[in-house]
Amino acid sequence: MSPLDQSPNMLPPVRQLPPFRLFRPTTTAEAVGILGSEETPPICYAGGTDLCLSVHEGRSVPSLLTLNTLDGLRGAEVRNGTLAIGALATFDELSTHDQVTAIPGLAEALGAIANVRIRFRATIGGNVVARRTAYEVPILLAALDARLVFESSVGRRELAATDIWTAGDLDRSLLTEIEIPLTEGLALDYDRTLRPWMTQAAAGGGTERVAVGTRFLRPALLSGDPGDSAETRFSGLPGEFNDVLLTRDYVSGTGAALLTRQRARLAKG
Amino acid sequence: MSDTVSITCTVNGEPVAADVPASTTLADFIREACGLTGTKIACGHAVCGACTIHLDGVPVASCSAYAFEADGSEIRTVEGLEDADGELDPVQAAFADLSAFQCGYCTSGMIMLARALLDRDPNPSGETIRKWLSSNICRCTGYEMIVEAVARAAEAANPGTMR
Amino acid sequence: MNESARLEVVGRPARRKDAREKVRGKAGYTTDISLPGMLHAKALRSAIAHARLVGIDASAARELPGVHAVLTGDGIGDDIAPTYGYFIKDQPIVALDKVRYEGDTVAAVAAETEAIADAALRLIKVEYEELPPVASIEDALSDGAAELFEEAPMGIVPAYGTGASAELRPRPNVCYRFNYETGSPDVFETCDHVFEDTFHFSRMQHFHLEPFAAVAQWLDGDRIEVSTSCQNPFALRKELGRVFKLPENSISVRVPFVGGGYGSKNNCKAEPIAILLARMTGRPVRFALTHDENFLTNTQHAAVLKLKTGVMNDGTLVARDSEIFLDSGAYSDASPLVAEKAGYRIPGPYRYRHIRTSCDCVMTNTAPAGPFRGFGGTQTSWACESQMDMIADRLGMDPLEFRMKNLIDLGEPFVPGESGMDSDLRAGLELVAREIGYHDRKKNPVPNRGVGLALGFKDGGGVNKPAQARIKVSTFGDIFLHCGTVEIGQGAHSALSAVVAEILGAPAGRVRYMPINTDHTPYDQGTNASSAISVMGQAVERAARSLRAQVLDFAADRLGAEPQDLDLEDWHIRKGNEALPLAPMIMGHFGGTGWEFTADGFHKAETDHSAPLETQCVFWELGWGAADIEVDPDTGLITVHKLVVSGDAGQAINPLVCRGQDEGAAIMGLGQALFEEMVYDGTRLMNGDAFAYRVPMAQDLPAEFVSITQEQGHGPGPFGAKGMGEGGMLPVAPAIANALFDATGVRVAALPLSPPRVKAALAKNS
Repeated sequence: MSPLDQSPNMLPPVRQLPPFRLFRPTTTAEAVGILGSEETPPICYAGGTDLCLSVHEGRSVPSLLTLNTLDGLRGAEVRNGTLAIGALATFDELSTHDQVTAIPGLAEALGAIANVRIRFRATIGGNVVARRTAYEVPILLAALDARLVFESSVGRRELAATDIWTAGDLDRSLLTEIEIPLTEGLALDYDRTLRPWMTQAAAGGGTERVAVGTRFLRPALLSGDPGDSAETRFSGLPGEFNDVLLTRDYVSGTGAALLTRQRARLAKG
Repeated sequence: MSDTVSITCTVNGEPVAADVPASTTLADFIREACGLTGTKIACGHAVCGACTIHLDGVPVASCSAYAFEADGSEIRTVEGLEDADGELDPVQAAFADLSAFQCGYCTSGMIMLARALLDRDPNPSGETIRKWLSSNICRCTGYEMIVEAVARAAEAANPGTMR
Repeated sequence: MNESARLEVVGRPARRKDAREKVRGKAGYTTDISLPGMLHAKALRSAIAHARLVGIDASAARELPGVHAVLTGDGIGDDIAPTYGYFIKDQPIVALDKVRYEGDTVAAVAAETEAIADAALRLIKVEYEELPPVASIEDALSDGAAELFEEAPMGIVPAYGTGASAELRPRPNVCYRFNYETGSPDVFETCDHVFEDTFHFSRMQHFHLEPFAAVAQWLDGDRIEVSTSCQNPFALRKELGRVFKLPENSISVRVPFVGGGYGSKNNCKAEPIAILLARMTGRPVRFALTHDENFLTNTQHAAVLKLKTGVMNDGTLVARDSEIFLDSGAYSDASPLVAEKAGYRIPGPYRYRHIRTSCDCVMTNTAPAGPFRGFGGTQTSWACESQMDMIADRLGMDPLEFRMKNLIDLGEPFVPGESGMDSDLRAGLELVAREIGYHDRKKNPVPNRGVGLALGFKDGGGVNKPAQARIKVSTFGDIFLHCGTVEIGQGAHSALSAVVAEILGAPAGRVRYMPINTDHTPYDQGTNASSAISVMGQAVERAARSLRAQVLDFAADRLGAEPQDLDLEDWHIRKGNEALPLAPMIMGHFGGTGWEFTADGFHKAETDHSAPLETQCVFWELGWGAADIEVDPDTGLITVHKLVVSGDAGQAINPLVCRGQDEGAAIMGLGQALFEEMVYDGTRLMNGDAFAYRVPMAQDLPAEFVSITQEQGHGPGPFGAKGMGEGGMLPVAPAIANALFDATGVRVAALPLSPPRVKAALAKNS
């Protein structure tokens, strides 16, 4: 149900949308042009998973821009010391993609999120731009120090993945690519055993980066020297990292325990 | 740009041409325009999978897809599984024989999910079956009998090769 | 039929009657109904938990093209009784003077499409005057708490038998209190120990996939026809008659297949709004809630249970004094009935010299709680079976031995005036104990791994529940079974049809279970309380036996034989070595157009004032459970390695269906035990949709999951059958909590046993 902002009334989830205009661009440039020129920017549509959830929650759709007619923004490739992932790549595609193996553990992580049916359709970009705390790609990308590339009619903008939450209005921008720098020895371990309470991504190779996500909180990123104790790593957890399902004490103690295991798994390779 | 879209597709092998509002979900297209109410709408946002159909062979939650995406595609629903003589698909037969359903509201979606699995992997391990079935929700059965039915359907299609 | 003959239909793992329809997508549900000119309804709900309604302006909504009617409280006239409920008529069709929870219905719109109805809701302006919210049982009972109802709504207390009583509104924010007492409390004085423990029980939502839905129309201006996803069409008809001030023969309730209910689809839900909008518009109206709105319509009861148990050093139970508080939410719904059952079941299936219980229905500004699989028994089994292990530990006894010592014997009344226990409780407990490896559990102990047992218990078959059935057989032996048991997934239509086929010597395929329409279908009180086979089954059995006797009498007259020398076999009369077809015999007597045999059957447990609930319990529903679990002390995560559940079907009418009932119930119990709950932040539900609310998936199945259908043969139903469907849920949470104690020595007395809760308990202990 969607309590409207400030409204004392609650509206039932919308199942059936009023008619909307549909844009079916075939190139990224065309898509970006439409996003820039329409008076009210169209809502972007790819895998449908999140759009339908937000429609359900009451988001209005003046017009829809389907990205599924674009011929690019899929797949993944290693170039210039980065793994570049197309925003429209599906989880299923990435979980078996040979280039994704450049980061050990990443394909496995992407192949574990959601479920088989969703992974066929849902895109990695959609999972990020949805800006939902319950979604998991932002946790992985935080740990991997990823950058997000947006295109808009005013040009290209790069954003650290961790800044997606505070980046403001992105309605006229199109996420085109996710870039992950391939630092020496980079590998990922993603622990989902405690979902839905918390999940945790740990990336080794150089600076250790640990991202913790919960149902209701934006992921916390904890980074530092890999020689630090796991407890030290979690001493950096924000003071108010509580939600209705768990306390900061639980997250820090449990996160440290998980990290110890993740370090062992990463060391084993 | 348009607010009405023309769709030409096949539904269970039959050609269908229709003009529908662009905002029509695939589930409403199937249930209302095509009159195939075997596809159920439950949670409404792709979580439960009661609305699972095949779009070009891929299992899709039709409540969270739009009809315009089906243009030029093949749609398959639970009504399209049995053959012309009314002989059940092995998945349907196994669900019926092993009582792998109760209220039936998830059943069409579960069967379509299982069919998609067996189309890709005719001989899945128990673990693979559980992993796939974990896409959809059944509140009645506790899943065990559904897992058994999918294994039975695979076995029926490939006798003697079960892992 | 020769009673000693082998059963031909009953007991076989046959395909259910609804199998072909359901696997082909051809089964019809209320949500599939579309009528010419049908409008679609949507409801506006309050986002404020507790407020006085100052005013509603729906004028803009009414003017929106495509809108046919907007229903608000001020538009309800004297020709309608505007509130409904079970024992207490406190829930308005739409808000009248107050809203009482986030999600309370404020207005409803009928429009040509759902999209137009949605748009119209956005145009309705509501003015509220906020009142202090009451979020929990503790809040509601605290001094100076705001009252949800300043005046007591109209309500009744039914007649109770020996030892039981109830009162309406015993204190502010408590709408009903049930009491039960037997034996003298003085025996507490004689106990070697008295243990007092408090348990907390969390709240789930039924999560039926088909939403609450109704399609209604008014015919000729004064008759209602409503198709609905409903478990109790006759009780619904009665309530609709009261609300709409119509005779019951002007209200036709039809029930197609129901896409899951688990208790929620009893009494008024979507129907009153659909009916009222249909009257306002003169058009058929479909009101199908969204799945999210289910969370705001009916839920399980959260509970606080305080148990005081007196026991001797040798482990003999003496006395049990219990105080139960159910979180009833904003409206009473079935809370008084759940209170009755929770209060009655809290002793568990054990022998005491004194029992005293009280159970309060506490009103809070949260979604209304109502019937939920287990019906109070899940709450009481959680508390009772947890405390059994706690007491055993304090006495230094083995929990299994402690239970064995105190269990009621086969045939022994549960309490004075009650029916005898109709299962061998010890045999069932030993069965699951062996299956889980209970006796060998200490041989090779693994750190943080443990085994636990529990015995879930409830009285089954409802209270004072009448059921009628009618069978017709055509000239050529086609069988029509008319009865009101709703096919909600439990397989009742197949089971009841199998009983008829067995008695009439017919193949199961000859029986058709006729569509339910209260105009024609014989009376039934409702599809609930595991009563299909135990109550309706007896009515069906009587009808079938009566019809069989008629046929044999008829044939005996025609053949000049004695009925006892004849048998009925696939609509032939078996006489010695001859098999004579009945159709020619019938047409020879009644004429060429033929005739139909018809017979009725009825069952109701006799009214009996010596029984605490005015009738003796129809049957006792048990769920034996055992769990082998491991806890990760670093995270608090419990892994269930093996789960064993067992119920007693008495005689399984269809073993596959019985298995499905136990397994489905057990996995629902597993969710409740480990993670599933409605999470409230104050009065706001934080996870009220399928995405946020986690239910068990196939991936949550324990590595080993064993269900055992016992057939002990003592049931009151046809061929010794007992009801199924709820028992399997009852023991799962306490068995896992008991296993956690076995593994760690730590007792967790609140649900769910989530990692944060378990880890906190482990930390507190170390």
